[in-house]
Amino acid sequence: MGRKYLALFRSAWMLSLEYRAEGVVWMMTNLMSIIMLVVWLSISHGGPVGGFSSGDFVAYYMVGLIVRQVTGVWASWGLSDDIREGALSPQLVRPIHPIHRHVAANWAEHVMRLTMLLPIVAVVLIITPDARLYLTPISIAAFMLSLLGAWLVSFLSDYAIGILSFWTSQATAFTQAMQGLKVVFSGILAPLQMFPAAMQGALNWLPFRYMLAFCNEILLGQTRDERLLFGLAVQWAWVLFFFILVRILWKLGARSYGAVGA
Amino acid sequence: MPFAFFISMAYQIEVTHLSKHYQVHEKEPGLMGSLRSFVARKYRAVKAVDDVSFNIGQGEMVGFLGPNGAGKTTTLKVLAGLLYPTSGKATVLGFTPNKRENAYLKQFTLVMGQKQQLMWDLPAQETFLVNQAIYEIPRAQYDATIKELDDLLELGPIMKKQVRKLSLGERMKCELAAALLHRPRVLFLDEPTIGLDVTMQARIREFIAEYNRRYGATVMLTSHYMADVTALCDRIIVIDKGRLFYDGNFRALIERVAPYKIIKLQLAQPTTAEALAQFGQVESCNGLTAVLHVPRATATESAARLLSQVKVEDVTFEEPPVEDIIREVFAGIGKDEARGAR
Amino acid sequence: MRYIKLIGLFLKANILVELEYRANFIAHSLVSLGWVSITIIGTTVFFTQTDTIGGWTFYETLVISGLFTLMGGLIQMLLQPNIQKIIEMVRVGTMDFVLTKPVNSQFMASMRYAQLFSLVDVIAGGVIIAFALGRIGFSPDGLTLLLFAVMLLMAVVIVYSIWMVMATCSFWFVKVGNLTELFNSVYDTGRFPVSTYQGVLRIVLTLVIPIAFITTFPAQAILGKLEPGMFVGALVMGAVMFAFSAWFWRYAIGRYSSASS
Repeated sequence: MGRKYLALFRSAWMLSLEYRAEGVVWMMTNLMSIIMLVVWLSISHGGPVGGFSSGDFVAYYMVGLIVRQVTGVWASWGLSDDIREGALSPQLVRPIHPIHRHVAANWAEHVMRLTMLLPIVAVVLIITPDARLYLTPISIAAFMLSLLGAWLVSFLSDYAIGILSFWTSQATAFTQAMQGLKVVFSGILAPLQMFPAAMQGALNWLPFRYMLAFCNEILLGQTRDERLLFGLAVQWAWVLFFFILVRILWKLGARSYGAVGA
Repeated sequence: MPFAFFISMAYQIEVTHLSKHYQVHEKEPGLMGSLRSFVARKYRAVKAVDDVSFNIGQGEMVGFLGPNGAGKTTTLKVLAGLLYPTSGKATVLGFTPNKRENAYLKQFTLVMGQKQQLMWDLPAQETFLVNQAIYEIPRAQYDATIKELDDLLELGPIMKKQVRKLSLGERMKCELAAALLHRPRVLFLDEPTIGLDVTMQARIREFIAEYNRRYGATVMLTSHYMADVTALCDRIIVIDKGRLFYDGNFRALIERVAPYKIIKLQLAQPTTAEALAQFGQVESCNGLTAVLHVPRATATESAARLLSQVKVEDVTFEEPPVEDIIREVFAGIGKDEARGAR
Repeated sequence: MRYIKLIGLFLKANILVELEYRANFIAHSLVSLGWVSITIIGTTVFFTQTDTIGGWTFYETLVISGLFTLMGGLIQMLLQPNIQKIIEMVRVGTMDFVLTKPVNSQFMASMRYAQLFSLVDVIAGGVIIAFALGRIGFSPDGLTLLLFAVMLLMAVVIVYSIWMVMATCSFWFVKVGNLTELFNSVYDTGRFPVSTYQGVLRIVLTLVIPIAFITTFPAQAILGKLEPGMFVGALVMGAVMFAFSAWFWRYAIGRYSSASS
């Protein structure tokens, strides 16, 4: 398995290097987060907003950039195309599940972009006077674990939507809807603490928080101790849920795909 | 002697010392290679067309031959005004193609067998209507042309079906119809029969010939299928690696490259190759069957001699297959170049 | 005349295609409405923490949200499908068919396709604007509406020009899809009044990537707060951008050499 991954990873990486403008441009799509940061900064100019100082907003969105980079997924687009154009058939006869190709491609892009992004984020955090992170061995370990969980929730939920292409040509519309929900409810638009209390209660149980905001909160020291454990439990419950969902959908989908004989 | 030399009318297509060079970026293999070309790209100049000249008169059908990447499509694209020549000159119907004047664009058509202009999700007739508006074809002429194309290509039922539901051959018929609605005087056909089965290839070929006959249209055709060229074109232009290699009568080329005929023998009793060698070059001889190449000039005489001296069950005379001739032409080009390099 | 007839034919073809895929219409309408509610929720969240953003009140900002939705709908309806097609045509080489047609190639390449179901967004945007204006209690007079119409037209021209320039880049770069992603994320700044942004960013959003002309200034027009400078600026910006996009297209066509040479 390791060797296979290395090979997949290698080819994906070479593909991503092929178009040199692309990495830069994708970096710029993180602008959305930056824009929101700028808007919040302009609002928090006169004093803290919802418990966030200007420095907190900077720290929140800088960590958010990295989390977003890691949890950025687009496998469902590729999967939809493959299914619609019949390019999936040759992949199905290979002795490796197509999901691994998408995972490898996803991480190849992450590695490249993170190497570009990390230095920038570090510099911004250092030069912003009151942008503080809460760095303890436990918080760092919990952050890494939550980051892995965030990627799994994002990737598996996206993949589940992609698999819907077996039945509908409109799966990408669902992907777009999902992206839209993610922008608002995962904490890109605003830290979730800014939402009305009733909504926050609901968001604690929905998967969106665990794709981004949860990780940020850990590293900013806003979510600790039992609330941290609760969060991790909910996050990994969602991981398990989407994992099972993907397995079931794939089985059903592959069967109906085979039945049509596409 | 170039065939076109004998045509007295004014040329419709004139190409003089045409060259088209462009740059490609070279990708090195492997991980390090792609990293390196990510940082600094290497470029290489490619001479797609290199100092090519020819003239084509009205109503001529010219086959354009050459291996892949020889520069056929590039030349057609220059003539269609899609590419600027690097140097040299091309004139079609008195126009400079790359100016792309509407007056010129309305008089030719470009068909590319591997690319389609039809709208995928709609019946072909929707594309026809769009083209009618684009080319400003009067209603009456449009109807007449459609009717005529329908007669020739049996478009009736297929032009009302969504293009994506058509077979490859049906799609090509519609492509041709869409491309010919405005009754162009010059046709550039790039691999018009590619991917089609033999019967459909023949249909398309007949149609092109008929269009040429009816409207006196000038046709330039590239094809991988030699049958297209032998059936349609008296004259061929052969290019390789961008350079003009041959321009002239197809028969003359055959005489030049393959100045022999093939005699296939079915012998009554086993004979050796040595025994047959006196009649011509023995290509193969295994007991009761033999294949001989005999010089064209003395073919009849050799055959007569052979029949009187050897007991033969059956004999057939054949022209060398065109594919072989072309292969030999290209092999010859390779040899010339190797010699030139030394 | 011929161009009007062609637009009619293109429109007819688009309607026929959309009728082919009826299910699309429903799916996309739902998605559109989802996006509209996200836009409104987004704006609302900010105003739970503050009374004004960049000096704009909630309902004033909602007018901008409406314009953001409306223009976004127009982009998706008229620009995106054509631009995607241009990129594809350059990649597979069918652009040759467009270039050998005796019509203006920019017209032919950029007016051909439409995604009619995005009309839902355009209408939703209009409803939001009307609703917000109602809440503010401002009813624009004839002149205000006229100015608004002109500003809206200029906004469309500017957006069209930006998209055309991006599409034209596909003659040089393979993955222009990313460039449109980039624009989409810059376009997101249009959710808020341009006065939200400070310093260099505001100048960039006004003059370099003129998002301000797409949502903020038309919003000011319908709110009756348009300054003469903005009006003149919009006319100049529209003309300059359009001229540039047309020049750039011609330049690219001139340099165009198909992938297969």
